Amino acid sequence: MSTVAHRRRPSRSVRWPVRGVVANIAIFLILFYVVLAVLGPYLTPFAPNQLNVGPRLSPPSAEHWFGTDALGRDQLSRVVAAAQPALLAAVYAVTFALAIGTVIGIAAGFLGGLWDGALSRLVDLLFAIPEYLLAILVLTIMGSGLINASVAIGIVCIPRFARIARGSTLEIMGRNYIDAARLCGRGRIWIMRRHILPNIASPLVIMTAINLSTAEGAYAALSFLGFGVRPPEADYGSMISSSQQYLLTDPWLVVFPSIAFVVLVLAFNLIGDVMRDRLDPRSRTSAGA
Amino acid sequence: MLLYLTRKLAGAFGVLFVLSALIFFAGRGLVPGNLATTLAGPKASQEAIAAIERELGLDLPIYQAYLDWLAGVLRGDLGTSPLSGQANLDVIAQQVPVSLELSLMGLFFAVLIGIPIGVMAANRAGSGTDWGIRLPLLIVFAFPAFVSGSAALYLATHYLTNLYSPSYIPISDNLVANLQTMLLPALAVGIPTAPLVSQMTRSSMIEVLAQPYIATARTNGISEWRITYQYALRAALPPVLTLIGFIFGLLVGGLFIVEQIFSLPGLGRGILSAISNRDFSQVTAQAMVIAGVFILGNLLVDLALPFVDRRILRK
Repeated sequence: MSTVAHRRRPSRSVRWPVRGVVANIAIFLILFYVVLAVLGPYLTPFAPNQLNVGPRLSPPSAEHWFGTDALGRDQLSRVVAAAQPALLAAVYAVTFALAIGTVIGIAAGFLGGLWDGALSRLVDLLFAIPEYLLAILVLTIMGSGLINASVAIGIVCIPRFARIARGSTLEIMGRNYIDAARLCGRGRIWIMRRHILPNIASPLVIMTAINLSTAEGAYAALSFLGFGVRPPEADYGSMISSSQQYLLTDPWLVVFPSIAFVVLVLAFNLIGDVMRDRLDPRSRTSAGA
Repeated sequence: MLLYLTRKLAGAFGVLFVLSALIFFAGRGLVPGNLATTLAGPKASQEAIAAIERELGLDLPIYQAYLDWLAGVLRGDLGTSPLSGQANLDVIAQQVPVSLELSLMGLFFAVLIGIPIGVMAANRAGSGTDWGIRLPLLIVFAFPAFVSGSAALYLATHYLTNLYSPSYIPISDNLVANLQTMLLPALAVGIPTAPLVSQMTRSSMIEVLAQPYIATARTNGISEWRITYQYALRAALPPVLTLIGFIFGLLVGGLFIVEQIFSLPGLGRGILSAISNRDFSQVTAQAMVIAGVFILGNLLVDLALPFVDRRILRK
């Protein structure tokens, strides 16, 4: 079996050269942003939040590559600094959704019966609420901020993980090794942890990749609306929203954070798209629905 | 058919009911501390505060307050804002047409662009052309509404001044002037959504095109164009329709942002300003309307599905 898989793989990569290249570019881009997020404070020419490091609203120049904003802050430094909250928000949100969604999904699929009915209804319910409305409602209860915005996005993403975890669990429930473990007197928690979780890991990993881009976009949108990290800190969404009034006179203030953000989301989208083809060529979209 | 209909209707009401609780408590959570003290001002007497509490029903236990509010909503009374004194229904009645027009136009553009591209990509699946179509779409999809909106506004005010007028005019006053304000915002909502539609169309079409009856149609010499658009596309449509219901929810997010950028007096912008004013009564009313319209949209999609694909009723 494994030799067959080994023999098939090279021929596949020859037939799909684009796929490998696309994935590599995306991974390279994401690593680039990770480096910016980790080393950002040491790389930037100016402190991102320091006022009046140059003239206000100066266009891109040799000293300020991306220009300066209305408070005289260096735009390049701020664009680099914004990589950190952007990546953290996506990772927090998806981790939260993955953890809770997986537990719900496995429990529903494995326990079945009444549990399945109740948990599935709950998931359907969450799914039926418009995403942004749900996120904004959660944020009005909890207040804005990086962690709270991530949790709000995480709640929105839970049903996607729960559905795929439940479906995959149901698929392997009929396998002999589950019955064998039961006959050996293993507890339900043990079976779920040792047999089900490892065997449904691959669709979950793919779902994670797909949802990173959704979470990234949602976080920037919430930050644009003022629910993200608090004002002096740099953040793509809030940088773009606070530059809206200068859009017509000093467009670079909108252009640079937009480009930085779009490239990041594009990298996540490409990874998600490549992964999606592996999961199931049908009924998946970039929204992960 | 009747069973299908009842199930979908019951589901929609259930969701709306649970949402109403969430919305109500979110509204209450909006005001830190005691609302009555805030409203009465810093120097108000105990009696004045108590009077306001009684008037707003704040002295009631919270479940009682919720039930009273829910009863009001069911009667069509969305309450009156204690901050502005305006009936919420009047405020919303002015905002809904703006948002509805924007989202319907956005959806129209998304479908108009998305479906043909998806069909083309499916016909050439796996080839270089397929990726040539998908890659630009993925790039477009990476543009969030606030970037596409900013770009559209910049274009509108710099180059397309004839096509765009910045002040909103209701559709009943002047159709052409109304379209002038709405066209670019609608494109800003619709274009980034189109890739979703085309991806779904593509994957659904690929599956249908692999069916044996498509091969049969080919051997019968039916033209490729007819096979694609009359046989395959129709069979591939149900998941796309379901997605369109889902997109309606995404559009709500687009509304929040695009209305903000273009200063359109719609629901999305209204709810955000109500949140920043801490006008809990208006927020709950607006959120209920958004949720209601979204659920109604999905319900309509569910009811339209059996007409496209009769097999759905048999499940």
